[in-house]
Amino acid sequence: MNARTPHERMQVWLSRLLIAGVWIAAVLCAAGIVLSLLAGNATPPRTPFAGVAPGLDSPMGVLRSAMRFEGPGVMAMGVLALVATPVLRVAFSLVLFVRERDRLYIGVTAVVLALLAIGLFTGLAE
Amino acid sequence: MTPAIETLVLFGGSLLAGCLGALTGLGGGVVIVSMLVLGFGVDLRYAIGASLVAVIATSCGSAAAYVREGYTNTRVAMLLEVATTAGALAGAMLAAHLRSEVLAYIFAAVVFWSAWNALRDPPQTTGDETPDAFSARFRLDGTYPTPTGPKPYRVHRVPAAMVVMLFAGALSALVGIGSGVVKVFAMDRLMKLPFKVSTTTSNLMIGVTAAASAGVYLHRGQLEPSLCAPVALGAMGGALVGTKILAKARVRWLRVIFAITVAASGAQLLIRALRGEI
Repeated sequence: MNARTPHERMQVWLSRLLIAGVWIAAVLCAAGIVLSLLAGNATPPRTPFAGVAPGLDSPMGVLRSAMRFEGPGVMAMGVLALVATPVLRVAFSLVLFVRERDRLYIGVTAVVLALLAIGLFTGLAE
Repeated sequence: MTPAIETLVLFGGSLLAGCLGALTGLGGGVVIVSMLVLGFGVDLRYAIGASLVAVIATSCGSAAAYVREGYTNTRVAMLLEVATTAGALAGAMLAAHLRSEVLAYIFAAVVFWSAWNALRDPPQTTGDETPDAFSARFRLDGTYPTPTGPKPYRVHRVPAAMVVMLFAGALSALVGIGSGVVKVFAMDRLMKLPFKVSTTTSNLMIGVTAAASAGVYLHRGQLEPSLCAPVALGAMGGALVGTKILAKARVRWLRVIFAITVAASGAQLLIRALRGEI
C-alpha cells in the first residue's frame, strides 16, 4: 500500500477501522454464543414480541452484563460493537476534518454524529 | 430443536442469505427479514432488529475494501448521511406507532420492487461532465479508478437526492433493510455518479443509516442477542463468500431464480398480513 496524499492515508485508516470493528464484533458474538450454549440459555424467542432480557436494552446495561461474562450480555456486546463501528467511523472522520481545518465538513460530520448519538443513547424515549 | 442446533440453523440460513444478497445485489436485509419471519416464525419486530444488525455487518465488511481502493466518495457519503440518519430516526419514531401488519405491507412492497430491480441489468452510467454550483461549494466532485487511470466525474442535483435519502433512511428503519436499491437509484439517476461509485458509496452509507435506527431499537428491546448474534455472524460470512464468487462468476441466471424466490416470499408475507397473522 503506497498511500501518499493525506486523503489516501485517511482512506486506508478508515478501512482498517471498519475491518477491526467487524472482527471485534464477530469474536464477541461467537464467544457469547458459546457461553450461552454452555449455560443453556441460548433459545431465541420467536413470537409474540416481548422485548429483551432486563438490562440488555441500553449501551451501559449491555456493557455491565458483558463484564460479568454472561452469554447474552457478551452477544449483545458484539451486536453493540457492530452498531458502534459506523458511529466510530463518523467520529474518526470528524477528527480528520478538524485536523484539516475543513470547517464545512466539520459541521456536516458533527450533525451526523449528533443524530447517531441521539438514537444510540436516548432511544428517542417517548 | 435444541438451542445449539437452532443457533446453527440460524447461522447457516443467514450465511446463505448474506451470500445471495451479495451475489444478486439485492442486499441482505430483504432476504434476512423474509427468512426469519417465514422460515423461523420470528416476530416481525425481532426480525427487523436482527436484520438491521446484519446489514451493518455486511456494509462495514465490504465497504472497507471499496474505501481503500478509492471508489467510495466519502464526502458525498457524509453529506447524504445527514439525510439518511435523520430519515432513519424519523422512521424509527414512526415505527413505534404503526401496527406490525402495516410494516409487513411496506416490506412486501419493497420486496417486489427489489425483485424487479434485480431482474434488470445494472445501468452503465460513466459520469456527466457539466459543472454544478452546489457540488462545487461542497467539493463533492471526485475521481475513480479505471483500467486507464483515475477518471474525474462531477456530482449533480444533490438537494433533490437528499430528499430521496430522507425517504431511504426512513424505509431502512421501518422494515430493517439497507435500502441500497433506493440509495443507488438516487445516486445513479439524480446525481449521475458512475455506477461503481454509486454502489460503493451507497454501501458505506448503509452501515451508518442502519446504526441510527439500530440504536433506537436497542432501547425498544428489538435487538435480541440470541437472534442477532448468529444472524450477524452468518451474514458476515455470507457476504465474504458472495463477494469472492461475484469476482469470478456471471450470475445473471442466479439473479433471475433468486428474484422469483424473493417475490414469492413477498407474496406469502402479504397473504399472511392480509389474514391478520402478522
